Amino acid sequence: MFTGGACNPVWATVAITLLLLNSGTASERQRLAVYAPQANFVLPVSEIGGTTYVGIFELLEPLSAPELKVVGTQWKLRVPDSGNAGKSIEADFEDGNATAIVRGQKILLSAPARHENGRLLLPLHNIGNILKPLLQTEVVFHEASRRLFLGGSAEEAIIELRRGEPSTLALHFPAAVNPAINQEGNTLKLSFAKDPVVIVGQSGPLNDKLFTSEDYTESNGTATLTISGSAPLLASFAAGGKTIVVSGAPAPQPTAPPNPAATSIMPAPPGTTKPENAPTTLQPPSPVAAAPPAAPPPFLIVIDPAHGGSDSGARITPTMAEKDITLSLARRLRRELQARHIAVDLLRDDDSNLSFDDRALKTNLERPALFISLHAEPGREVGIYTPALPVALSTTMDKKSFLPWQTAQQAFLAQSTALAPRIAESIGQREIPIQIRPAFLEPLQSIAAPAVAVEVPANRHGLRIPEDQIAGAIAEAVVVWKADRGAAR
Amino acid sequence: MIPRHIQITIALLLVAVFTSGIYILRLHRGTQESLRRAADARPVDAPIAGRSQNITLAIAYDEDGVFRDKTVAAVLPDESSARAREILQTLIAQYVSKPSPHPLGEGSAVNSVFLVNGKLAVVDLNQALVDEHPSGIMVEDFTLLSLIETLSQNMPQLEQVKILIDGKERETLAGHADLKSAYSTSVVHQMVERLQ
Repeated sequence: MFTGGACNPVWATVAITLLLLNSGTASERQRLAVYAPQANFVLPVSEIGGTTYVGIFELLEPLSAPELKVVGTQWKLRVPDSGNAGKSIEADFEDGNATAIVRGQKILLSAPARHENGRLLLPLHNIGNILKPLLQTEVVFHEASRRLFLGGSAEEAIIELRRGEPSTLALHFPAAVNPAINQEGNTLKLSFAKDPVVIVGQSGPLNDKLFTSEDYTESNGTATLTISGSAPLLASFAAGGKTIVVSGAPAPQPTAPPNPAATSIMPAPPGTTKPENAPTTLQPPSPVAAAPPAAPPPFLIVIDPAHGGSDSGARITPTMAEKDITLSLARRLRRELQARHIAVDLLRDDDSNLSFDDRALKTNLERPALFISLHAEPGREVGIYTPALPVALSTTMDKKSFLPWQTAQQAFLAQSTALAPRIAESIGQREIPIQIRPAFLEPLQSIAAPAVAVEVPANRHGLRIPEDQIAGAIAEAVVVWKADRGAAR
Repeated sequence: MIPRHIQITIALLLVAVFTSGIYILRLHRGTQESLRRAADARPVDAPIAGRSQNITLAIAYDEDGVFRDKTVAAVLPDESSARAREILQTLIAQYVSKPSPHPLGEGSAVNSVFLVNGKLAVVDLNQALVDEHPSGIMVEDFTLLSLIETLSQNMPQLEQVKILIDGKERETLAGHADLKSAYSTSVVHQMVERLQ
């Protein structure tokens, strides 16, 4: 037993070490990865009183069309019944109560339901029991790693070691994948945050001259496969992204012939539906000529619910801020677009505050087909704003080359200007007054994609025009834009 | 019955009390106004030495979503920076007064204008202007367009205008319009022309 002042430095060192370790863990944002046939997305989770909670409405919103009503401490959740068109399934929760009624059945929760900032939080531990009767689908929940697979969405990968001189390791996936790849020394780490990849089997030594071991782990919503070798390793995509071939990295040469069977890894095109920003894919050092995957990039729409956090935007009423209206409208627009089979990413899906540079950076990394910024203000008309650049640039920009940050929009200005009337036309069909004009609006100038801002009039009752009408009209305009783009190709 | 002379005395006394009351009230108000003036730390503008000239203001009309030119007479100093400041101050006075076609908050003002090589104007607006500025894409854009267009109409040699708030760079005017960039006067002129 340690006693006396002589041991204090030891305890102090241990305490500081534990504190540092703990702070390191706390700084990593805890999240839940959800994989479903409708969408793959990531949600933040909260640790309250030793229990991990998740917002049930935020979880269901991309999967169904949930409705959540609150009366006092009682919360009533309703989702459409996938088995009976026109009917819905109900669930009842009470703030501070650990009993829930889902589809008429009592479910005991591991901790009481909680109400926080207008959100209904439920213990993550019970999420499988709640979702199964609500969505009537298969639910597989890896609770320790917080990975939730719905409707049989898990995709099992197969690892094949092809022994030879030199050996190669082939990773086969049921569908194309887009992992973040990180090479450190002789180790190659593939992190699957967006892909519902699971690897069944034993991790451990591979007993090969080149490949020494493989290790599969799941943690914080991400599956990670670590391959260690006796020399630097190189990963290449093959079979349209369904296979990743890992081999020894060749020694640097002045020139090397491109390999037609496999392409070396480049920052991959944007994924389908991912509310959280994609991690940067690192390219292992390789002299092989780089070529992007052959498949065209998916048609992704990035929606920017303007303002957020401490930036409330315009005050519609003393209790109603622009930031809340834009977020609600953005979520509605996401549903409308997803219903039309268009991939969507929201720059913020909560009350977070993003700088204009962050918004532009996140958008440009995703290389979207369109960027739509949503605003609201007291008024009577819908305003559709195209980007105006503060300086006149005489040179024509090549979209594929490096673009100056402050005027990246220049290369897409013509497309942005052409997009605005499409949206106006679609909104106009609903007999809503509209104006189109250019504006020096942040962050449109730095967006490297066709971009517009839509400002919706609001009054003390909320939006002057029903949210579904506006969102529906924008979604229809996007569908037309997409069709035109396809025809142009 | 009260004798007549006492009635007259009481009436005179009442009149004297009433008159004194009014006098004391006016004296009190006057003292308060003096104290308020003494407590006002805002710098007082130096009298402008110059001649009265006609200047053109690009006035924004929020209701109609248009710009209209307005010619007003103003006393302008000869020195370019002071002249530029006075032109913008005249414009802002139009917006601060009521009724206003494009309302700006009371106390909105231009701190100073710096001219660099005669081609770049750095306009330093005061904090009150942004604190009280309505938030919205169009209203914020109209403020920028109006300031820059008015300046360039009256000082045609200007090519760029950069706006600071209390001497510091700021991202946006009130959450929307970009203040990080320096604006080309020709780009702004084209935009205003389209809105006239």
